[in-house]
Amino acid sequence: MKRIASVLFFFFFCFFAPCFSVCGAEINDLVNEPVRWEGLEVKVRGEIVGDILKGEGGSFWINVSDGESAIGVFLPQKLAKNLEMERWKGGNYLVKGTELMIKGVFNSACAEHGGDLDLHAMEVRLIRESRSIHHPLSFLKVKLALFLFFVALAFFLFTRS
Amino acid sequence: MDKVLNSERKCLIGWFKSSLKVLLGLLVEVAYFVWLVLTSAFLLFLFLQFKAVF
Amino acid sequence: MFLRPSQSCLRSILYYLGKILYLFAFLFLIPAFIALLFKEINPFFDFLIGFSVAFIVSRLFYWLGSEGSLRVGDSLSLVAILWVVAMLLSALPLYLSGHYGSYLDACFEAMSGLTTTGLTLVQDLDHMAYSTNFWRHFIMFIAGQGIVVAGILVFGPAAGTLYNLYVGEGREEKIFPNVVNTAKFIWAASFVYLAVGVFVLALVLFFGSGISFLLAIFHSACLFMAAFDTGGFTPQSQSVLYYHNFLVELVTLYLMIAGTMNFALHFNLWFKDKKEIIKNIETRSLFFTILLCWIIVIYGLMKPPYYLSSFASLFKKGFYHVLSAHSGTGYMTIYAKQLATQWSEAALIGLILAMAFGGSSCSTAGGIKAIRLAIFFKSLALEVKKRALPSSAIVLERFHHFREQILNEEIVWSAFFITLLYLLTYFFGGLIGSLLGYPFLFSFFESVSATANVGLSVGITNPSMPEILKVVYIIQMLAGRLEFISIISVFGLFNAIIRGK
Repeated sequence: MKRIASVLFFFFFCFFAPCFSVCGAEINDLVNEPVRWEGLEVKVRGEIVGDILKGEGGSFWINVSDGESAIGVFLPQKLAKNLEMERWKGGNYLVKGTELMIKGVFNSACAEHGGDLDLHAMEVRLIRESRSIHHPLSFLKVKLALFLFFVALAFFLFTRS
Repeated sequence: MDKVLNSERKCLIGWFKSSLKVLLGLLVEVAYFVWLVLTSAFLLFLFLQFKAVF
Repeated sequence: MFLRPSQSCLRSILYYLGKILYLFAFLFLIPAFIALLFKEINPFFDFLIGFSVAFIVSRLFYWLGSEGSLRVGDSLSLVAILWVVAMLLSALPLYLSGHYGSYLDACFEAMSGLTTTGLTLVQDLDHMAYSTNFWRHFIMFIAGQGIVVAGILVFGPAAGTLYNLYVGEGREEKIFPNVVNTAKFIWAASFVYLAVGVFVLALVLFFGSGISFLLAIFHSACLFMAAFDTGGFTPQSQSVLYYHNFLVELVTLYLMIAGTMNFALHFNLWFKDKKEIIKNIETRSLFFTILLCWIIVIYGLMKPPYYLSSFASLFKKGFYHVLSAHSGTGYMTIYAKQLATQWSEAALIGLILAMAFGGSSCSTAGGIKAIRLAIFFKSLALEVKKRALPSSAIVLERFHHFREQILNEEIVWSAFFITLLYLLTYFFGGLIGSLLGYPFLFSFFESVSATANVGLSVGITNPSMPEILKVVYIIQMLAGRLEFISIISVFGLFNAIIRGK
């Protein structure tokens, strides 16, 4: 009896698990199949890009990217005041932004924000601090640039008359 | 000396006038835009009413 | 029988090509300066390489060529050749930045920028260097007004056949009798708008969104250049949605409308007759076509799959995209895949119509142009009148385009000819897309978007699209921007070189 019960429980769990748990999703999937994820609670992981933007009434907007697509994440004022946002940094050419794990509700046309596609955050966890991206100086480029520059200069002097 | 000052003042007034003209022109352009937005908002409003009736 | 162009004719083409490219080369130094400002070392060298290559090429052309007079056909084909060379050169720093899969991708991006289209093949845009990003927008600003228009300003009356060059870039309007003065006004108007637009946008971004001062200036400069020139690139990968700010949407919406207005209209409103905006046939035509497309789009958005519920969101999303499409800008506040999956076919058709109609002539917008549509309807009215009246009656149809004009055969014929060429190109691009396996509606949408220099996308344009389609879109963008005549002239020129006697 116990075994049957456990087997039953197992099947029950398999079938209904998605209802109880939060779906882990890629941002790229959210953006490319908005209909499928409409209104669901999702958990995404990604890096902040660009700036941390002020919203209305103490709320904030961040844009989180998984490397392929980016999505706007709305941080309501209640949540935002408990976060250490001054430690966060958005990614740009010189910075790999702070990596976050965000649990929230996905809207393909958020009624609150004029039909924007967004993610309303409920829980935000810091995965990895921001770090600077090192762009090693390409000596080939430098050589090429200087060479071409002098060729241009010489050519200019040659054809000046 | 007065002549120089006078011509400078005239020049300044002329410049001011022409920039005012440009600003007025810009305002007309904004008015066109506002008119466009209002008309289309009105159309949408009508459309929604129309939809609600049926 | 064709006459083979003489040696001196080809040499004078090279001469003028070199002269205009000479100016273009120095434009590379502006992003190089920005690279130093933001301490971006590698991009600085990218632009130095770009500058040197452009300089050498222009100098070479200049050196090989010699001054001479140009026939009309030659000066038109010179413009087309100029644009292709400009594409190859401005793609260089883009390619060196490492954000593009191949040189073809970089060329696509450069052509998209130069023709103020806005379709993009960039990868990982959010980590792009500020200077490279600026360059993408800057080429829109330069080429939106016209490379030749810029060249005219610098070299002034030195070139004798300027007007033909000016026409070759799809501009016919003469604001002043003199082309040099016309070019001067075009730039003056653009700079007035640049000052006002950047100032307002920077205020909105700095105070509204809390972006730091320098970056707010950077973002607003980029947004302005792409909105006023009806381009459609944005500094971040999410287009305008990145800012999550209604005011930014509103300001860009206005800039798009301003960009789609005729420069001659700006001139009239600023210095002559304020009533021109009501009387002019183009603003009237624009007004009605925008409303027409807007009605179709709201009707489409009411059909399943409807996903927008409130008045505000319907207005914000629907109207923004109608104007973005109609003005040929291509800013989006939704994702490309949403257009494909969540907008009904009727709404997409509304957008396609808006893109196909396009803005005013002598503006930075693309498409068939409002004046040609107006002429079409006027000539329709004329035909109706003719049928209604006895055959001995003389019927005239007038329209007001800066002055009262009477519709004649010549005007009607040239408008019809260009319109037909646009329609054929729209269809042709859609056909190739559907042959490559995309649904026809989507490929048609993308083809219209490329030809009319809009830049809205349903997701077909991405780095992994077939190479052949990239080439087709590049040709479509160029043909649409130069309004075909120059492209036809190039074929004429090559034909004459090969088969002429």
